[in-house]
Amino acid sequence: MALGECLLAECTFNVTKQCVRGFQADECTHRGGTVAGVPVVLDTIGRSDNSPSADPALESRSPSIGGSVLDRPPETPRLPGSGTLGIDEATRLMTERYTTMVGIVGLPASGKTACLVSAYLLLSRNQFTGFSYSDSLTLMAFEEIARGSRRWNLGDAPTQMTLHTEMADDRTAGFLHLRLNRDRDDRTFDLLLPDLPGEWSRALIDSSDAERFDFLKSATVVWLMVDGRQFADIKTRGYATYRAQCLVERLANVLASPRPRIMLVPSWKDSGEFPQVAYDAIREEGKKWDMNITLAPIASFSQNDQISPGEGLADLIERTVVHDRTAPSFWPKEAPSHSARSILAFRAAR
Amino acid sequence: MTSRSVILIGGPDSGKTNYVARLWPSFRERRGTLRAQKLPNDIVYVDGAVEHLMQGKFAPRSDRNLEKGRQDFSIQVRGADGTGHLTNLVVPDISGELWLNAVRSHELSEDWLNAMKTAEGAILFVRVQSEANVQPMDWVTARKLMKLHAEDGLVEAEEAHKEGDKDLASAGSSATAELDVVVPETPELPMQVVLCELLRYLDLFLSNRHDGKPPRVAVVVAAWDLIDPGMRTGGPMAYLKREFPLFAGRLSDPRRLDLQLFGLSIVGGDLEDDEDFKQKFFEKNLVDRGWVVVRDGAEWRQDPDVTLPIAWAVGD
Repeated sequence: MALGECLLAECTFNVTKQCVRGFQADECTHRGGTVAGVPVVLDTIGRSDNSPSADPALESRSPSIGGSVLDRPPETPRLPGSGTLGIDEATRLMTERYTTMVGIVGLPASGKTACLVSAYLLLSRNQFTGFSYSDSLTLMAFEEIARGSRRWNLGDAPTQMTLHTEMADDRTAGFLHLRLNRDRDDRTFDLLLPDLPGEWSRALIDSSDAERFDFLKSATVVWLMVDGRQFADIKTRGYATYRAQCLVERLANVLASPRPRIMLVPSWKDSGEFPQVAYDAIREEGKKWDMNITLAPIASFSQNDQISPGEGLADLIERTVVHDRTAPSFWPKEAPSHSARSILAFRAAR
Repeated sequence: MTSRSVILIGGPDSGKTNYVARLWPSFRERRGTLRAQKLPNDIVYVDGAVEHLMQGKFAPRSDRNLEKGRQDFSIQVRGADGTGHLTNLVVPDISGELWLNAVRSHELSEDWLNAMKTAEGAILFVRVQSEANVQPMDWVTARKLMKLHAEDGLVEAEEAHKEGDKDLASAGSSATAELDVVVPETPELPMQVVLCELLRYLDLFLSNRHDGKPPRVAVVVAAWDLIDPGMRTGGPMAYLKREFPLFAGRLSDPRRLDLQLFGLSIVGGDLEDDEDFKQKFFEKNLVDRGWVVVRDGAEWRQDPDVTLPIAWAVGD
C-alpha cells in the first residue's frame, strides 16, 4: 500500500515534503495509506475524510491542504491620505507648479520640527503676518506632527525617504507641502519643506553620509537650523559654532553651483539674541565655499513676554519666497555683431 | 427623466438633517426654486425630522450606528421654479460621526464611497457655535505636545529642568506653570482640518456634472442667525476666515470644484435658547420660517427660499 498524506496536524510534510520529525518520507508512521485506491487526506481539523464521522458540509468548503481556511474578510476602501510626500510626489508637484523647495538641515534639537509646527499653528489661527493658508497636500501630516501623535521611532529613525505610506505608525521622512497666499499682492507660493530626523544631519557631519541629501540639489533655499540656546551660552557657543561650520563644509559638497541661498536660522530667539561673533564666523566659513549665508532668527515657541510665539517665521518665509538676485535686463542693449547680421544680408541679396 | 444625486456632507451636529427637515415642507408646498413633482414613496425619514421642527425642537443628531448611519432622501423635483427638467433627486444623508471617522481613519465603506462617486454635487455643512467645532490647538497645549518629540529641543529643556540645570531650563516660571495644563492624550481633530479633508474627498471623488462641467459644492454655514449683525454684513466668507482660516483658505483654491457659499437659518432663530423666539415660532407655518444668505453681486442678501443651496448644487 502506497503511503498517503501525513496525518499529523502540526507536520507540514503535505506541503513541503519535509517531515518535521525528521523521518524518511517512506518510513514515517504518521502517513496514511490508501483505502481501496483512494488516498487518505485530511480535512482542515486533521481528520481523515475517509472516516465515517467526516462532516460533508465541512468537506465541501475545505480547501486543499495548505490552502486558506478562512474567507478573506471584506476590505474597507482606503481613502488617499494627506501624509508626507515622497520624492516622486514632490517631483511631480514641482513639474506642475512653480514650487520653492526649502532644504531644512540641522542637528537634533535644533528646532526643525518646532519651526514647522509653529508655522502651522500660526496659519491655523490666522496669525501669520503677511500670509494666509491656501492649501496643503499634507494637511494631516502637519496636524499629526503638531499633536505629537506621530514621532520618530526613537533610536531607529527612518533611514530613507519613504513613499506615501498610509499605514505607517511612525513618522516617515518626507516632504510637507504648503500653499500660501501673500496678502499684499494676492500671489500664491508653493513650498516644499522636508520633515527629516536630525540624525541625518548628524550623520552628514560625522560620516559624510550625504546620499540622502541629494534632494538639496533641487532646493531654492537652505535653512541651516541651529539651537539658539547653545549660542546664547558662552560655554557652549564655541562648539556649537564649530559644528555649524562643519555642516556648512559638508553642505558645500552636496549643493550644486551656483549655490542656493543659505539662511542661518537660530531657534529659541526668546532665549537671547544670536551673537554677532558666531554669525560672522559661520558666514566667513560660508564664503570659503562660495555661499552667502544670511541670518533669520526665529522663536517657534516663546517663554517670555517680550517675544511672541512664532516671531521671525513670517520674515523667514517672506525672504524664502523672494529671491535676492538681481534680475537681468529684459531687453539688453547690445551692438549687433557683423556675423549676426550676415543672414539678413544674404536674404536681402536674393 | 434624469437622476442626480447631491450628497450632504459635514461633521457631527452640522445641521444636515435639520436642513432636510426644513426642505421637505418647501418641496411639499411647491414653493421655492426647486419643487417636488409628487410625494416620494417613503417619507418616514423626513417625516420624523419634520415632526421635531414642527414641535419647536431641532432634530436630534443622526444615528451614529455604523450600519444605520445613512438615510437617503429621494424625490422627483423640477428646478427653475417648477418649470425645469424633471429630475430624480437622491440626497444621501450620512451621519457626521461617520464622516469624522472617515477623516480620522482614511476609511470609508464601499457603499458610502459609491454614494460620493455617483453624486454630481454636494452640500458641505458647517454650523455656527456647534459644540462639535473643535478649535485649533493653542500654544500652551501645542508646546506640551511638542515635548513628546524627541528631537525638537523642548524635551532636553524639560529634562534639564528636572536635573536642576538652571541654564538650559531658564524657561523658568512660565514653563513650570504650563505643567498644570491638562493635555488630552489624543486631541480631537480641529473642525477646520476635518472640513478641508472632506472638501479634498469631494474634489477627488465627485462625478462631473451631466454636461461635463465640474461638480458643484454648496458650502452652507448653518445657524447663521447666531452670528452678530456686524459680522453678518461680511457674509459667510468673513465668518469662515475668522473662525476656520484653514478652511477659508482652502475655499479660495477650489481646484476642480465649483464652489458657492451660503448662510442658512432653517427657522430664522434659536429654538433652544431664545424663549421669545420659540413662542413666536408657532405663530407661523414652518414653510414661512427660515432663510438663506446668498451673494448678490458684491453684497449678501437674505432670501426666504431655503431650497437655493440644493437647487444651485443640482444646477438645473
